[in-house]
Amino acid sequence: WGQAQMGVPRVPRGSAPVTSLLSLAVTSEQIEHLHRRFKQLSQDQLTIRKENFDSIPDLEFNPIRGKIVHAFFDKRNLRQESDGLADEINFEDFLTIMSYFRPIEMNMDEEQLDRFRKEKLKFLFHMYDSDHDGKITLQEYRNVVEELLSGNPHLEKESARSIADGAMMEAASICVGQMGPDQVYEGITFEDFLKMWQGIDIETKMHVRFLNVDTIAHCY
Amino acid sequence: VSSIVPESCLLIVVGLLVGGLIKGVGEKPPILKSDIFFLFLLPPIILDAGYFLPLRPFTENLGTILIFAVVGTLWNAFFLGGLMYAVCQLGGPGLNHIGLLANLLFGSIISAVDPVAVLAVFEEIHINELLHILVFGESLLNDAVTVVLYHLFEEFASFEQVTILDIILGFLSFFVVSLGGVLVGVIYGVIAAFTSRFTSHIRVIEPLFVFLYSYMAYLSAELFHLSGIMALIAAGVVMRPYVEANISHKSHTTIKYFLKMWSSVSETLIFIFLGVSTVAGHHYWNWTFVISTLFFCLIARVLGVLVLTWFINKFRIVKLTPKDQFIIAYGGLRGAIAFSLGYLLDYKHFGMRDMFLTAIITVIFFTVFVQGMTIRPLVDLLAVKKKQETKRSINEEIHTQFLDHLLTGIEDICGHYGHHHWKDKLNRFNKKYVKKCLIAGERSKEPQLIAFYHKMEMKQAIELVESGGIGKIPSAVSTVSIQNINPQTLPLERVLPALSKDKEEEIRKILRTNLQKTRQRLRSYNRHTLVADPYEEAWNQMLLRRQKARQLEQKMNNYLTVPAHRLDSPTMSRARIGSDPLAYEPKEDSENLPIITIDPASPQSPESVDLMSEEPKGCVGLPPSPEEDEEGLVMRVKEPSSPGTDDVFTPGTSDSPNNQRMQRCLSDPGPRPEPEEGEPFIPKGQ
Repeated sequence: WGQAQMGVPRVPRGSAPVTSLLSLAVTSEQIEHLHRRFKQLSQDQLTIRKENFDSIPDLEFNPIRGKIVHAFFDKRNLRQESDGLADEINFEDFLTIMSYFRPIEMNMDEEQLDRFRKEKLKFLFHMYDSDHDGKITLQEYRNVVEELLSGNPHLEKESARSIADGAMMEAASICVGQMGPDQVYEGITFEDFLKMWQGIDIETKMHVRFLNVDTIAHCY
Repeated sequence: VSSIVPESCLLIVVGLLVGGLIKGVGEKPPILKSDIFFLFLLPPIILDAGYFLPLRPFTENLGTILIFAVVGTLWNAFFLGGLMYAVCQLGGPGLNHIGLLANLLFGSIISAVDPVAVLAVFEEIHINELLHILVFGESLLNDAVTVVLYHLFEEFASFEQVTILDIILGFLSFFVVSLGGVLVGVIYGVIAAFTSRFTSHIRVIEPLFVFLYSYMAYLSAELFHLSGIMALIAAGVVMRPYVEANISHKSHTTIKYFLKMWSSVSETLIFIFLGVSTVAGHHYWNWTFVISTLFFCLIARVLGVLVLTWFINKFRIVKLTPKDQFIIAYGGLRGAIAFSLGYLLDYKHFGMRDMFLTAIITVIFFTVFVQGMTIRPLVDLLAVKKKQETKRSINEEIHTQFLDHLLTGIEDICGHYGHHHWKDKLNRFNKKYVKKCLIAGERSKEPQLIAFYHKMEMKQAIELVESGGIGKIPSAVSTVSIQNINPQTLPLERVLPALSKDKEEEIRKILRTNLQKTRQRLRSYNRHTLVADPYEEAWNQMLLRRQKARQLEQKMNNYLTVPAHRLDSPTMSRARIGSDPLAYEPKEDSENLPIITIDPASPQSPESVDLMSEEPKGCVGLPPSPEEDEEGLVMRVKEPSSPGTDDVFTPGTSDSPNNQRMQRCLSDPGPRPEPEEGEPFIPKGQ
């Protein structure tokens, strides 16, 4: 179960060699498994579109489904220079997104750990910041909370809003401290975001295990 | 001294002294009898541990904990038993007659890590959550193994021959014991949760149900020779989320404090008794036996932890470092359970019982004194991560939930049925079916985030009240107000105050304090009216708020400027009502201002002005939701169907004439009110 050093993995024809990022900790078995899954999702095409994600039954129950799917197509996550949304992604992009969820390794030093952590938090940040302006504004935050609570249809919007406002104020007070009545807190920038997450060790939490490579859930 | 010597050691010393004293006087000192221990002293501690078990880290590390508990204890027992047998064979005439089975029995008694001792020592060193839950969880779960092994070997000792069949049956009985115990606990937990659903009218005995059902779970399990400890833990874990949603805040506090009190008392008694029993008991000291027991115990523990960790680390994401392993090994304390089990041994079958007891006591003393005392400096020396004393903030809660959903989604996308997937499925099942049965009324639909937010508001309210006192606005509160984050929503006409949320809170808290004080004075002398709290309180609340709000005028001068009528947040308007007692027209919600509607559960009783009355007079209007009980001023999920539990200030349609009448009666003639354009609350400008 060790981490194999990857040179060029066996990716299907047409994809460019995997970036060096993936050369850590994504073993060839896992790539195989993900490739099988990719083919399932894309119905044997080379690329996936947003509609392909509709075929996953369990995803329907997820309240932040929209954001998750969106994150796959977000060009900032795909490490492309441009901004905005891609229409379709190929296997390499798929792997890139998955690489954000790889687990921590024992032999990482401080600097690597820090970079690791920042990457994951950046991914999360992009999910919150839907208009891509580099800040999480109050409206976006409210949107997040509303989505989180969207599983309960009889909830008033105001409750969600109050929670979001309370959270925002708390975030402001953590990041900026005391504010006079005239100052305006624009939104949560990435640095503030990092500060907020200091208490939670994301390196250990944000990962998905690929232990059992044989079970693959069904699609429609 | 308490920083060097853990409390448990001191207690044992006290016990020794007391025992010595009694013996010196010539009386026979009381010994820790096993039934007293198992029936009365142990359950409170275990229930306390189970009820307040931090479920998330426990389930995340469940695999590790189980492996340590089951495999680790088995290894310890057999290794120790085997080695002791060898020692006995070689040990000369005094030991030769001790058979293999006796040694194995001895091994099984002494190999179990003791939850009481672990709790006592680990509580004080504030170690990080992971290690704490690992060692503690192990100590709780190894009870099943201990029970099985103990009974097994005890029975085998009376057999002539032990066949393979017996061994296999013994192996199977392990599953029966542990799973049976858990099942019994779950059943009782569900019954308790179900009962608590109906206790809205008899709040006083709610804590009793929790204690009773848990104790019955324990007794039932012990009756059938199932694992009582596991039953108790399972019952506590299962009933807790539902019971907490159903019972009143006061009952919750009661349960918490009673459990802590009982478990504290039990723990103290156990350690003192240990000391006394040491002095009182018959001892048979055999150097070889005792020393080798001690020695092999330590070795077995260390070896077991090392091997198991190596194995476990293959499957763990967060690996256990050698430092962690050392603490786990070092934290394997033995305690009173071992002693009691040894005490239970029958003289007929085990003539060397005294020797066993002596050895057990020695090991206990060693682990508690030596290991207990040195673990704290070692923790500091090795710079083991300590517990982080962070309060859960609403932000963290949001992020954690977001992350959970995200990870579940990713797992679904990968097609991998992982940890999050199953947890999510369980949650959905829980929400859909179980919660509906077990939680009363509206709370069953309350999402976790909202419940958390409520709890947090309550806590803040209580904290502010306790720290701030009447009238003092604590300066520690952040001055970030809603304008800071949402400035463009205020029309510039008569600018200012959306009263910042924190100030709203403060006002609320101040009002509440006074309410509480007055309420206490008026309170029921009679048990039966105690439950009518939420109903009668509201009336008095309204009256008092009026008075207090008027008193607050002066204090609020510094904070508020003239609000425009249209921009009033509800609390502002309510506060204004205090001095403008006459009609107030509720404004429509402005889309932009965050509105926190405050709806205490309060039926109106306009007829009665009698403060001293303790009977809730006819409720006008609404069935107050029972769960709102003590929560008074919290954010509420609005139900579309119900007429709405009106706040006393915001007149509902049917109630406005009554309200206005009341207001007219009760308050001083304030400044002349106008329905449309209210007079400014504070008659001054900027």
